[in-house]
Amino acid sequence: MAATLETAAKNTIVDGFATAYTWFAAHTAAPSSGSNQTGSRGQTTWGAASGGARVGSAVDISIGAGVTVSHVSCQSASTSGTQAAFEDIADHVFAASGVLRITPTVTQA
Amino acid sequence: MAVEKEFSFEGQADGTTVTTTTVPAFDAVTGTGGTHSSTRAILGTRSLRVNTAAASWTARYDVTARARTRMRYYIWVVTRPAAVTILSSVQLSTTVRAAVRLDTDGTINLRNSTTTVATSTALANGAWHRLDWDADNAGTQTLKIFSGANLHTDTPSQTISGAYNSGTHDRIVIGSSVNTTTEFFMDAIVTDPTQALSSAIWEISLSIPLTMALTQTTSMIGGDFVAEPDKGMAYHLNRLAGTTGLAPVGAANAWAGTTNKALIGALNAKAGTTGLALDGVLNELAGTTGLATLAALAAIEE
Repeated sequence: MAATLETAAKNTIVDGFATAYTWFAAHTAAPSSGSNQTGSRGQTTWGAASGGARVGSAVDISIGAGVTVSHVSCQSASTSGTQAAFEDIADHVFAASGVLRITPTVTQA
Repeated sequence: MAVEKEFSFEGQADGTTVTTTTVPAFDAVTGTGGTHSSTRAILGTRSLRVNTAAASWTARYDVTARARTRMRYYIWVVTRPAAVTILSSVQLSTTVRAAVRLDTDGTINLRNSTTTVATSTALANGAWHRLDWDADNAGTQTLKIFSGANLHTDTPSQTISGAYNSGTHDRIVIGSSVNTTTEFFMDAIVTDPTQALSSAIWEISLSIPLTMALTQTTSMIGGDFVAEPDKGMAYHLNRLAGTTGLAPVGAANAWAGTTNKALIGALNAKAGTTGLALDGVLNELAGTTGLATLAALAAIEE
């Protein structure tokens, strides 16, 4: 049976994640270990844990003109490192160069 | 597809005069008061600062004569002009086909040559606004203004439109066209003859859900509950099959009385179901709902 996690334990879990993973990347296709990346990675500053969640500061990633961004990921380092998670997002075409601004949240249910 | 032209003000020291050398995308620069500025920027660290004192400053981009131009730029007004001035226009030589003007009261109006065809409410000073302008010889010009919370969205705060002065145009002009005193910033200026030009900044929220579950099994031994440490999938499937040391797929086949089925196939066979995912079939076997995979497996009684 599954035990109920108390909030303090949830905070501990998200604290562990936030310590390890602070970098975010944009991708033109599903990433595997950071592949298909476009632009440089950006780093968030995680806020304090509360209620089993931490919200990070906005991360700006510069995207070149003509690029379609389809995925974003969370990584452990500015280059290489370990990929923690990725999400398939609605495709966005940057007809002109611009910025992808990611505001991350990590939550332990 | 990339847009036709982007006008970047990056790479220059604060206060550097804008010329066709510092911004090669421009074909001509006229007047005084246009500089690269580090005071604020939408993209990068520099924007165009137009700061005129009873003077005009404009920059021009020439195109092959055409019927339509779409243009997007951001504007931050510090000081409204003492006299109404043109921020952007499309022209055939010096004949204005359509123009976006900033009035002394902060409103934006669209001009069809010399006729005002639409007027917005005033833009607040001291904030970025995004202007998305579509000047089309097919008959209309439309300006979408994005402000405040709408700044980087696809939802305009205001939309105004009016007639376009018939005929093609062969130049695009930005700046402050009349001799007046004003100060404003422009950034992320792009043009294209056909494409819709969205925000320079695309904002998304990324939610990372962690689903760590704390599971344990309990057994009654001599009247006392003894908590067992969490066990893995192989342990539980061997427990249920009465086997030892088998890999999960082997133990699942042994438990289900099947051979050579994949793990999920064997478990579906055991449950008398088809096509359930791993957590679904294990909850089915356990008589539970919503438990995570390992928790559901641990809850299955022999």
